Amino acid sequence: MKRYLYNTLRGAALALVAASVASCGGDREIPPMIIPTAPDGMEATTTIAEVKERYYDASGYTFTFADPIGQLDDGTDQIVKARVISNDATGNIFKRIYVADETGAIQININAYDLYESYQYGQEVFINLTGLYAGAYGRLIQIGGFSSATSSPARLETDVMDEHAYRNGLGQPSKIDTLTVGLDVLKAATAGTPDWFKYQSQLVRVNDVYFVDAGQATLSTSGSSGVSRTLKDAAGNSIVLYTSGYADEDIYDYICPAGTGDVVGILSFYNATWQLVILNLDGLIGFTPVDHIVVEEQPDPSGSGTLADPYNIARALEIINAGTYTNDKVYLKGIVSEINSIDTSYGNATYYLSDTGSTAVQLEIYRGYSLNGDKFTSTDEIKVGDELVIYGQLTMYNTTPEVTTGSSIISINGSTSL
Amino acid sequence: MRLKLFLLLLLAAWLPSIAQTVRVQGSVVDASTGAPIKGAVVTLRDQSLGAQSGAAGDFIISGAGQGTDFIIIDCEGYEPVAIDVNLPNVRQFEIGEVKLTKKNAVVDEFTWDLSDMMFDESALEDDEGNSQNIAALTGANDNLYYNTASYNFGPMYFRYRGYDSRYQMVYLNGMPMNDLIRGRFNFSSLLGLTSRAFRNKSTTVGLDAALYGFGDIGGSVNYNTITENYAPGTNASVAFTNSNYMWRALVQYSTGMSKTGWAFSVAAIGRYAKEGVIDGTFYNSAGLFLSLEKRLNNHNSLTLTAFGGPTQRAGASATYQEAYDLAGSNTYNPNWGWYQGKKRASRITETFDPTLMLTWLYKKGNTTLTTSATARWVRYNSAAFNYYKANDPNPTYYRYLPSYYKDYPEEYELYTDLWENSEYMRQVKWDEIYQVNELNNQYNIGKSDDEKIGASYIQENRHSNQFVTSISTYLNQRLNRYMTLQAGAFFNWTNGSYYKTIRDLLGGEFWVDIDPFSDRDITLAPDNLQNDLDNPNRRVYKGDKFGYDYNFYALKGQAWIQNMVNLPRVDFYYGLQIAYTQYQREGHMRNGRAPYNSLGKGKMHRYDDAMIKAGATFKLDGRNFLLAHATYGTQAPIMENIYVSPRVSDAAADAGSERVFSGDLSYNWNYRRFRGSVAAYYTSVSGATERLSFYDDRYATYTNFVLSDVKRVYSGFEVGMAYKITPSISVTFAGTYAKYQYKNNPQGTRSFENGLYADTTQTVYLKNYHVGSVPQTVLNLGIDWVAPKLWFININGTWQGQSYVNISPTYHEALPDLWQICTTQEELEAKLADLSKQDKLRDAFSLNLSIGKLMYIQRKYQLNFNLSINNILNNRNVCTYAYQQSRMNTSTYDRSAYPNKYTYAQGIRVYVNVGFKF
Repeated sequence: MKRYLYNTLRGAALALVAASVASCGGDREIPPMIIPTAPDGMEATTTIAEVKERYYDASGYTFTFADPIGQLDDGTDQIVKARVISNDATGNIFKRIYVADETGAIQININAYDLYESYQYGQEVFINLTGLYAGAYGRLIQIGGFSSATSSPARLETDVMDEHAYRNGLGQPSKIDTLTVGLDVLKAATAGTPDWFKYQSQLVRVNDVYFVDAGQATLSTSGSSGVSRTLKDAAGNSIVLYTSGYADEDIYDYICPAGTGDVVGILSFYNATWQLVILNLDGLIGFTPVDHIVVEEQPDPSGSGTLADPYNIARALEIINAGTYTNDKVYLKGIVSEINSIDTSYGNATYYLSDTGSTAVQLEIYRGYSLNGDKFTSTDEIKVGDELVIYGQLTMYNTTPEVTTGSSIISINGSTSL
Repeated sequence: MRLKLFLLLLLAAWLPSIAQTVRVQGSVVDASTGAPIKGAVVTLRDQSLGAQSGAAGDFIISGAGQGTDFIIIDCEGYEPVAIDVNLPNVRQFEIGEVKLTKKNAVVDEFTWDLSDMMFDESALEDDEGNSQNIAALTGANDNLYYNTASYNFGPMYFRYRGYDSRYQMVYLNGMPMNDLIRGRFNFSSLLGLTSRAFRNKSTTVGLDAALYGFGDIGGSVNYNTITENYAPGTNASVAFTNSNYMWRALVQYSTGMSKTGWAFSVAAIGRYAKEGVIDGTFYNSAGLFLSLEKRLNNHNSLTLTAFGGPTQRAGASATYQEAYDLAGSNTYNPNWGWYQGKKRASRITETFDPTLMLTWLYKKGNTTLTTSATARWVRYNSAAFNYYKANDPNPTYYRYLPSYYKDYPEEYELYTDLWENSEYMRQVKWDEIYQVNELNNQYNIGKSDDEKIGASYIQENRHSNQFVTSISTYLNQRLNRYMTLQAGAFFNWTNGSYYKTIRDLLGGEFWVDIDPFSDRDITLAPDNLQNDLDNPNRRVYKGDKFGYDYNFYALKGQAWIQNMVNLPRVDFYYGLQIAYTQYQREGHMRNGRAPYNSLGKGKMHRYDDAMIKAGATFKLDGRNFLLAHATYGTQAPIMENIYVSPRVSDAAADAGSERVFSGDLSYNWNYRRFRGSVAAYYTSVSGATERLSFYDDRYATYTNFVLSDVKRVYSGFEVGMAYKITPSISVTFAGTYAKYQYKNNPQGTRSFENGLYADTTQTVYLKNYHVGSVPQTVLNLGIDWVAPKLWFININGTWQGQSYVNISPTYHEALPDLWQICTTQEELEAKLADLSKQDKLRDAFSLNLSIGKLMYIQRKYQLNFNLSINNILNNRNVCTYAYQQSRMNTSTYDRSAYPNKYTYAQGIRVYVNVGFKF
């Protein structure tokens, strides 16, 4: 009987051991997930548009300055609720971020690289502007720190910016609004106009444009602070695509693609010119990539400058570069490779002629008149690709070869009338 | 009248019987180890009077009559003894100590010998700080699980119940010998003499009651060096092994107690390896042991014990799995290189710790009092590189490994090729080191003294010395036939001194005493560079003290009392211990990183602690027992855990005493052929302090990290069973299934050594993570065969699993910037889970064989051979220790940037020993 009891006891003890396979160890604790959250009840007290208006003289004449941002009249701090619309991973955007709310966008200068990590693309952020500085550089309105009243706002140290920024959640790229805008609208949006305030620093999309330098040049060159390449639409409106030489190699070495496509980028401004800055190569949509730059063969210089035998562009350039031009007008022929502007109020146009039609080797025709010296009355009197014979004076304007003001077109594509 | 006469006669008849009653007392001990034997049945044969020996081995038979008789002493497992006595007409008759010899004494002695030798082997790997512990306590006891665990649960470092070795107390003649500053006992100070000079020992497993002290939750062992316990004669042996050392020679000579009352025993040991099994390691040590006793009179004796011996060794250290893989071997060692045609080690350890102890033993009647006084000098010195404005001389510095170039395929291929094929690449480049220093010397030519530059590389000696004096006494008093009382007191004063000296300038002219790590702070806090602001930029030469110089003063006073009761159906005990501990640091240099808190005597830290314990054994019948034990109390933290960075300052964690609770329940059975035990235990330690130091990339400075108020729980089951298939063949099974886990989320405080940032405290999420580098599941099955003609064969296999990497708290804190590399919440969750994962070590199986042969020559001389082969299957993937690095790449949060570091056990390990006794 006792033996039975002890055997049972032994068995029970062993069974207990075996049964303890089900671990009561518990789940291992993981440190808490920390997602940045703005303080409860935080609200915007102003908008970006209001800030711009408050600190930027609408006459738009001041190019570079920095003014301290104080509180609102009612004593509250100026807080905007915006979304980050830039990404500096490729380095094309350097030590700054762009944020936008429904009323507009603005640049903020921060002294750090890889800001895309701490200010994620699409991340909502409340920014307390009070205590920072608002100003401009080359008329581009921006926020930063103090340097001097006549300098643009300095780059904020990250710890200072962190005190003013209240991020709310992780980046949500789908919530970014990309504004589509036409180049003509931008052309009209000169400094101080409502559109100028609206579109500055925004993430925009321009549709149906082509690279004037397609296949001929790269977006930028290594080490350059920035290179401009021209994009043009069908109407001849143009905009500068500005690319930094400190960006990733695959950006600055990217050959201007061929064909027509759309471009998405941050709309920057300098003095009087809009500049589009892509965030990455995904911002070039629908173009045909070019494998390598094709250097076109240029024909030999030819022509004697008469109506019967006009100079070709190679000859004209040769004369200008040699310095053997005179004040006499001469005849020259070429293909319109690029149109800068056609001004129907003054009636003149600035355009380029080249022997092959590409922009690689071209001659500027500065403020020339239309057929027979008549004023230009519409913007489609000449188009890229038209073969022109013109009558004008060759000159070297500083370092730029050109046909000086007052030239006239003799024939367009062989015809002497429009 | 008649009534009066009747009464008078009655009285007359009665009185003599009172006068003639004798109380017979004595004690029963094990002939081989000297350990007391409890539960022995002592019978006065003719008078049919009997008693049972108590836990101290002592017994009383009262009411005996005068005259001749036999005292028979019988105990399970021992040969019975009969003593002729002639009881005189006295109140009390003292028989003295009766020695019982174990049945199969020869076998057991033989097996213990071998086990002790293997134990000494593993004690060598007990490097300071690196490998945590070894199966600590050996010795004769009936606990099958414990014995098997101690001897067979290698090669992974098994720890009893997962405890750190500070929870196991080691005593020498009743004197607690655990290091006050480190908490643990360094077994290598026994010089490898466990099988000879320190063979007489009593082991107390876990929470059992001990006679010699209060012990600790992990159990205790008391080594007894009273000279007369050494059997007279000479014992010599020579051994060869293929691990840390190659050759070992050992001899002991004992005289036994002479008629004039003197006894003397001397032992000498030498161990040598020109190169150990791991490349570039070597081992030299010698040891001497002396024990001298004078019997002053029948009740008093004095024993002087002295032992010590110098050791010099070069070891390996944990390194990355990548390095092992590239070198093609788990015994790869980065700490050596070729120099002038010879292998030269960079990390060398030299130790010498002589101990002197005087013990006064008083034994009279029911009282035994053992009092000891000790003086001990510890000299410990380890050599390592130091460098300034030069490349890290460690060949496994992460920038020298191919993985650093993983994004650059050409360089990656080049480095991989070099690592796999060029030994020069994998080892220390001594030539280049000397060359760099030589270039510095050439630069110095023609320069004024101020302009000269010192060596870029040196080898420095880091000294940890101690002077320890202690005194202890313990009493064993039999109160009556059921109860004994134990009590004791102990006092220890330890003076530790820590400093470093220049070992070798490696060809350089001098070394400038500044802190190379602080070089980055040179613009913000130039004082940080100075180790001694009162002697800035001091030039030091070979042998000079530099870097840091401080003392640790530790004092401990302890008193305990215990009562053991033996009743027919139940034995129980209860005890109490109180302790006072005090720690203080004294700095001798005003360190630039803590100018107000480094020089001079620092804050005094005091701890008052108490512990109680109790236990009972229920004797269900003669063969089945139910045991229960429990203990609760507080213990002072270990001194080296509370000082945040003692080389720099006096700063200490705000740590209180730890609270310990431990309880276990076991069921034991003991039949002729089948015996075993099953136990369940639960231990919780709370309010503990842990500390680590590392270089933190985020703050670009050396960081000290203290975890306070840590709670750990060790719980599990233990099983030990032995079945005798035949009288000479038995099968043993032992195993444990346990969990050693952190059970809370303690607070962690970071201190930045460069003083540029304030301390930060944050929660560390450790709950339910495992204590690292100890297998939580171990299973062992073995067969013992005592073959005819004194052959002993044992084959056993051990499977060890559920061992985890030691985690670093830096991966278990809230990471406020981690969201920056994740774009969605799911990604963030996955990243957090990945970062906080605790890697598991591979499970290991090892098969071990040992064969022994005993021979008697001319009935006087004994010759023994032992061959032991561990890990016969040459399993080279047994990881004994692994830790997660504390550095974290805080831009990518990529775990593979700082991989874990591993140490592997060697493969097959052979041990051959030849001994001669005469």
